[in-house]
Amino acid sequence: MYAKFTTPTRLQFELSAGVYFSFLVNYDYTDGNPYNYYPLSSSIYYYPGYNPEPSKHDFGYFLSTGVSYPLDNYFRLYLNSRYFYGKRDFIKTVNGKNGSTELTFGIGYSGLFRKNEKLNLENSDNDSSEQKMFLKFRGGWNISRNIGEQHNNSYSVRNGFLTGLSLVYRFNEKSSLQMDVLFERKGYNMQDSSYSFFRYVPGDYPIDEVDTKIDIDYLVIPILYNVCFGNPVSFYFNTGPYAGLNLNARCTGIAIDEYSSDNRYTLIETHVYDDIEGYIKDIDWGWVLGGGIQFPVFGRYKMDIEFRYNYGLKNIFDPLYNNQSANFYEDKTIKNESFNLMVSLQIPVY
Amino acid sequence: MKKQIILFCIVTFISSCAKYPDPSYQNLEDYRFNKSGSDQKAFACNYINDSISVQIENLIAYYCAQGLQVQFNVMAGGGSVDQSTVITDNNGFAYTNWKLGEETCQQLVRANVLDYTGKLLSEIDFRAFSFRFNTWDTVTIRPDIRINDMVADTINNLTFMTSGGTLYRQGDNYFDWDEIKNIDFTHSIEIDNEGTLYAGTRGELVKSTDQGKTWLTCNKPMPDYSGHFFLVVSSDNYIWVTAINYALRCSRDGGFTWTCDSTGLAPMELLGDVFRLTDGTLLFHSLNCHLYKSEDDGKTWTAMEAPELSIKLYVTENDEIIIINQDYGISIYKSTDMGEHYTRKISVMPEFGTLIDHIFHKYGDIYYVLVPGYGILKTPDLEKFEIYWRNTGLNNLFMDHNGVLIARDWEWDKIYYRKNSE
Repeated sequence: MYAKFTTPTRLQFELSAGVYFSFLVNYDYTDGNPYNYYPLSSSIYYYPGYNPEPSKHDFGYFLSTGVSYPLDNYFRLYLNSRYFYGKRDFIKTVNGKNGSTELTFGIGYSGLFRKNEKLNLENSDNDSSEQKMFLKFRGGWNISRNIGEQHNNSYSVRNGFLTGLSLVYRFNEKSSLQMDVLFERKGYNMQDSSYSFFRYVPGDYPIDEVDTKIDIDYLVIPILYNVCFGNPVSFYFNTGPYAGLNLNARCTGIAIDEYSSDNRYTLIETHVYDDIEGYIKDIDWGWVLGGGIQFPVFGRYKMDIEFRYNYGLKNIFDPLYNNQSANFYEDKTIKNESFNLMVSLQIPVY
Repeated sequence: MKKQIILFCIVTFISSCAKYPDPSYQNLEDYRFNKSGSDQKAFACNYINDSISVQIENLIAYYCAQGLQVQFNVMAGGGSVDQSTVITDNNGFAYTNWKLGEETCQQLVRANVLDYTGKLLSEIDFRAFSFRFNTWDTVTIRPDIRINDMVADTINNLTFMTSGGTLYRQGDNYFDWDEIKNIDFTHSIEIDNEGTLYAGTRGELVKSTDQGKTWLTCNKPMPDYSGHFFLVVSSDNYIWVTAINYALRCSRDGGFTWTCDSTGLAPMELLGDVFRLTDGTLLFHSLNCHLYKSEDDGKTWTAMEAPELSIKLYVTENDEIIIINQDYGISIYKSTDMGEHYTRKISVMPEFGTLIDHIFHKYGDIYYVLVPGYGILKTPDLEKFEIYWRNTGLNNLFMDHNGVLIARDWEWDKIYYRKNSE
């Protein structure tokens, strides 16, 4: 069940949020051993071979944003991104919840229950110069990395994406206040010899050669002050704080463990697929600095191309235990830093 | 336009389907290496008896890995190998012959195992021991390092030793030991002047008159006891035994009958040393630092004066009585008048104190005397001593029938061999 907001435009934008319920139909375990081979946390990451019965039903929240475009009077092209966040432990012994991120697209047919009518397009005589509030639908490309204070050589940048919308309140022609609600995939890559798959932990031989990707999904809410110059093509700069709510954190990739002794040689490849949400704090916050160009496209729609820099101020690493005997040289700091390149479509709010 | 959009959607949908691998692990390579031929012994500049070899098994494919390269490199000792690079055969074996060097006793050859791409899989070390003359050679393997008793049969030119409860006979070389399997757990070994061997086992005393080929069980000196006992065979072929809570026993007929001859001894005296003087007097030194004599063939005993806190008795062929005690560290006293008077000959300060066992040995005209925790002294007459080998880690000394000295470290992890050229 959800509430949906749709713009009454030809190119429709929609934003939905709500709850879901689901019922178990079937389950099966086709791969893997009773135990996963991880140094990360053997007590958590084992297949539910001992207690395999999952819960009969599930519920959670979901968030959706998308666009649709009419192909004709009856057919409409849809493109949606949806994020599901389960609240129930689906396997008690694993302590895991369901969740998914979906990108869906397709074609919808509405001719069964509707007469052949022409579409009503928006038609407003409002002067754009009198508009106070605007909605921007934005999406883009994200480059992020870990700027923790130690062992930065172990980490490299990670490509991601972001999508969401912005609500802009214009004070005057030169300045405005903007609040975004963005789904942003931050993270980093890691390549090094380490006992941990997602942060640098040194140790004695034997140790894994790790090549992993760490994805940390956030619901990011920046509040920015904009200053712009020019008309009809304008340049703008913005800055302000942001808060991020951690939705998901995952580590995937490959770890190679090479062991050699005088009576044995083994080379083991581990396919890593770890949920590391427990190691990432729920809230992140930082500062944003951005700038871009805005130009009219058609009608009263405008398009932005914006470059934005996000600097995380908080250490988001959350050790599961207050480990006083932890290795002095291991990384205990993870901080987000990202660069966004976004394209936005601004529409006036009615 | 619409058809192109629909076609684009279908293509994108299909191409976007991907399944990330389930979390799992996979053995990419798994080899097992079986080495053979390590820890052999030979004289310097000679080949060890058996070749050294590595067998390689591929545990993923379940076959012996043929065609892998093994590089044998001499790492220490100065020796050489016949083939330094060997390709494994059908059974996964790579082997070579090894000629020992003379730089050190412990020698090392390292086998580098390479896979088909030349990647190093493992380094496997082979150890051997090279024996040279006129130097102390150190051995760190069993059974040598656990030697606790030894007798030299100069009649039959044999030497026997016990190590870890097993009895061994010296092999063709002074550093080789062959296990004698037809005897139970052995904690001590003695020999009389006719070459009869006596071995203390679990509560039993056994004897052999054919150099260990067969063994006879003697009557038990303590019929109700099956534990460890102290055993000495004196030069008159009398057998002496004590145990905790059991007084001195003696057999004068090769172990058939036993008498308990403790009259005159303090209670709980444990057997240290027994010597027969040329006039028939018996001397008995106990582990409780007491010296006794008997003039009635060991039936009764009387206490003798001796330097205080004596820990060892030795009597020469000329009835010179040597007493070691704990004065000034360790002191050696000598009496030439049947124990009436003693003169201190030498004192040394050892690193540690311990029970003294096999410390007096004579070969030719030279005595070798070990002071545990100090080193080995050499003397022709037990009057003037010189330091033969200063080594504070020694606590036992043996000598085989050819005069080869064998010294054991107090930590039971090293044994030293020394054979002097004639």
